[in-house]
Amino acid sequence: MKNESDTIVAIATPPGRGGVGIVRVSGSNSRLIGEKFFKAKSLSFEHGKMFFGKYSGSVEDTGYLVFFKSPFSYTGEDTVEFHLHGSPFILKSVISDIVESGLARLAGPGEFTKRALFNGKVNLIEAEAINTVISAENSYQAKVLSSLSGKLSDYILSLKSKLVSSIAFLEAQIEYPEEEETENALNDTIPLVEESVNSLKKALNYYEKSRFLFRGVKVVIAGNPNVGKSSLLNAIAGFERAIVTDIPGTTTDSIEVEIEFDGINFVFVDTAGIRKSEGKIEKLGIEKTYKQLEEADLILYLFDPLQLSAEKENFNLPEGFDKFTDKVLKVLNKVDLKDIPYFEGIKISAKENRGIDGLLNKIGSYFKNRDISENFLFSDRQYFALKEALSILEDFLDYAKGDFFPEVGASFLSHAIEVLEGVVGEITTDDILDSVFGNFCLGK
Amino acid sequence: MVEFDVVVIGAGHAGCEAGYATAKLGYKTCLLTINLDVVGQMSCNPAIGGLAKGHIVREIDALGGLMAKIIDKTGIQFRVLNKSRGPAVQSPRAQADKVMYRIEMRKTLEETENLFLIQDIAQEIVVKNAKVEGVMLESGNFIKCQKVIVSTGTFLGGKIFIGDKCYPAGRTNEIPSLTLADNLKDLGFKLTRFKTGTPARVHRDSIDFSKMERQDGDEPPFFFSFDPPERKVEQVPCYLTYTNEKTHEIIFKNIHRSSLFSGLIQGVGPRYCPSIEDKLKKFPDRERHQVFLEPESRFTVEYYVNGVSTSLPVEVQYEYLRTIKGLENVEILRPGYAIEYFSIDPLTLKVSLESKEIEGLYFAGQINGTSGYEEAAGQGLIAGINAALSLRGEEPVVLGRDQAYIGVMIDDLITKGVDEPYRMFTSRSEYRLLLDHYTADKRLMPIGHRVGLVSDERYAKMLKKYETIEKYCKEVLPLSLKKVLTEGFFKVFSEIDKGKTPTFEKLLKRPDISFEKIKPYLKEDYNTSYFIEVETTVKYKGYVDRELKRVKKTKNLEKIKIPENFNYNISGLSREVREKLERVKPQNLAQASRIPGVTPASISIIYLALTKKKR
Repeated sequence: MKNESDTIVAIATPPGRGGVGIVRVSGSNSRLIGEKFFKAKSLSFEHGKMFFGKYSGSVEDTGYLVFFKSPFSYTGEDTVEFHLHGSPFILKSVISDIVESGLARLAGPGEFTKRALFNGKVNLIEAEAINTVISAENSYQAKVLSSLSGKLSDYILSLKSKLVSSIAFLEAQIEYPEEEETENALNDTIPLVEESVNSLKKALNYYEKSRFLFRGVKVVIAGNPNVGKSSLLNAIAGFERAIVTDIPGTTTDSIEVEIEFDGINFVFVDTAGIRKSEGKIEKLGIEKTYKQLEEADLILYLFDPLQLSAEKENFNLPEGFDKFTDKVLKVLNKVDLKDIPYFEGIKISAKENRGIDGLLNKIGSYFKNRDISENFLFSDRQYFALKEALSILEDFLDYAKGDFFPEVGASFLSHAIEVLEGVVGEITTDDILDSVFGNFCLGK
Repeated sequence: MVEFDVVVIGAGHAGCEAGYATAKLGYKTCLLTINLDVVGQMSCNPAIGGLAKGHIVREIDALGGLMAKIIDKTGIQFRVLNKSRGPAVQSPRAQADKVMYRIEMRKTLEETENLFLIQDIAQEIVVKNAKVEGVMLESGNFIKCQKVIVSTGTFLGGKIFIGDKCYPAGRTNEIPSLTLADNLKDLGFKLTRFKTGTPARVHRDSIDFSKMERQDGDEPPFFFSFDPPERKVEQVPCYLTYTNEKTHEIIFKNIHRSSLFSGLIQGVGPRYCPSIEDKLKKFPDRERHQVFLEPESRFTVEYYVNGVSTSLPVEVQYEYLRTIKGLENVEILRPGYAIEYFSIDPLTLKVSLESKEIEGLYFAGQINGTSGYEEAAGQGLIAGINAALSLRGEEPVVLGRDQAYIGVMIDDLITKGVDEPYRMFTSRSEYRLLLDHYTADKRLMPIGHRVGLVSDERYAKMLKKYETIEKYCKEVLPLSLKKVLTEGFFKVFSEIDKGKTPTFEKLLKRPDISFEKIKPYLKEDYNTSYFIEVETTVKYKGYVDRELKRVKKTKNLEKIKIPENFNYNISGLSREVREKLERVKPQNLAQASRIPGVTPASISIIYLALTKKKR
């Protein structure tokens, strides 16, 4: 069990060599750690002030110390930051000095933000945004993200208030059966719910179009066996302008390569071969492959000119691909061996490293040109919560089509609200009553 | 000096239930009243039940309390509201005969062993070492006791307002309780001023009923109690009429003379039961407001003019009432008035309704910031039960939010506090579908029985009832329509597609079909007296499961108990949140999460601190 009041330490600047490197310490021992390892002329630990001096532990380096007094720091706890030279060696030594002193332990991933959240310095959505920014390792993503957290809170609040007033109609009808003005509750409720449904659908769709920003682009390479899928993967991994970040071990049916290209993170996945001769992909029984295709943001479908029997051959996709057509990019491989002039997709030779540049550029622009300005979701958790709310509201509309009990309808709606508020915070049934009595004149 | 186990201060709806419960459970109880002739008096409208309130009355009955029994014996009109909606939001309501109600209540109490109705005024609750010792009476008598239940209603520091007139009173012409208010302040209770109001009572023969809409009761009447009386009720109708522009004009012209708007009244009134002045101010564009004429008793000529409670001067009351259709020649017997009274902050109470600070001191009813007879009675019963259980050395009864409206109400009171008089609504429950009043017996009678307020015989009868219901659901519902219904049904309901409704269950699932409608066509062996419960099972099937799933989530948080002496001085909790938690002292994380202003993040911190302590 982690003790929430113990002191944690971590390097706060991005990994790698940089001008300045920051080590951040948060918790009750922060000041003690500062006193122990930093020598300055007048180290008074005044809040927010930078003290010039010298770090001295197992390494020595000149730099600054900044102290933030609780609760005015990022985490809400006493915080000390060492601003030193950005050498990984120095920073790592500082960390191990501090951890070895027993005054602090290494912070877990996102733990500073978690403390900020627990201390009420940020709300859940902001925390999520910050964490996404942190894990978004490049500037393009970070830039987009920073503006979203406020938008989401606003959206949830406005949706919630719409639903609360839609419930209010039903509640008034239930609680005051004898009042004349409560008669047409359902007629007032349905349009509000329909509006909410449409708005949720839009929001989800925006996210689906934009989520590559937050979790990277998943590109699945598909095609018949021996069309050169692995060669393409290798070519991408070896491409000079791509920064390869990770190549996990081979799994039974897929190999992945993660690269950063043009400011976007890509994961390329090589799937098991799909045999066209056997027709539908379901028949292949490789559920995993199908799942990969479903999750893909983009599918590269590879054709091998040597496998094509000249004129008759067209470049249709196998049957099961119907539902993916709008995210498929057709690629003709092995053009060094045989070119097919009328092929309209991208032509490459993975083996010879030909056309890889063009392929990546094409993929990059495919995503960069997307209009993502309307999106305001930035985590799958938010996405699935909204999706759940949508499905409950659709159930409601479905239910309202038949004969209708207002109390059952209200139960659907309050469930949807509950789910939505999980994204931001909480609501009590009092909100609903307030709404009832704000809008209706009722009394006993 | 005399000695009792329990003293109950005030014999209104809360006090009667409380005193009955402690006495019935074997403890010598003194039920104090300022006026022995008005015990269990209905100070405001002559009706019991209605939405959510009717639910509470049914719950009181299941637990073994009195209100349902008394109204069943004395009611003069019975109706089930919301009959066209599902069972969860249907609710019984009865017009009471006010005179008979209080006579019957007094009689029942006087026949209860261990219970003594005594006319006197409590002057001081004597407390030593944070524990109740007894009650000093104005007569000079001192009662030594272990438990005190305070249920003073509108009497604590009560003050009546009519126009520019105002005088101390607990009800019209009844003396208020004044010294006790100071005593409670001395004991450390912060008193808040609340306000409520009542309309004029008018003479029956001055009303022209022919100009109004008549509203009759249901035949046969639906009674509140599990074992209703064998009684033929001659039901008395109510009448409906409306205010009009003329009425509104007069009220607007004189609104400055209303004690409410002249600044005389400081107390906070209930939004849900606004005076006619309030209604007009808030909704100036409405053309008319409903007015409902209710008989007060078979033995008097008084009618209650529901919908126009007021604190306007009497002459203005005459003037505006006489603009209303049917009331053109109305004679006022008692004017409407507003009343201000003291209530305590219910956040200072435990879930048992005992004070957190003073052992043996319980509070119930309007003094806890609620309004309504039913709300008061529900609390009175729980306070009584818990005082008795404490004397027995047992844990208090705590009703869950998914178990009873009374549970919802008490949890709301002690978790959220009140800033206006609290009235029950079905929407206050997040699990409304689970709390239909028809099954209050199933949910609560086991508790009433365990405690000792429900006899073995009654309890066995309840178990038998649900056995029958279960059997019916299992054996009859899956049958084909032909097996259950006679030919006559298929003729009358020819639109029903037999192919699409292969079973009786499928038929009942339709909202347009109820047992009541098809009863004449049921083959005799398939008749049951528990139609509605069977219907509920069918109609809500699926939806109830959804709610149960939601309950489960909260239940997990409920399992994480917070010790009474828990130290909220944890880093990460803001001062504001900490103060709230320290005031409420929630029993578990679920309750903590319901405190307004306590964020999900704070809950996580407390959770961490709690689990850390365990290790």
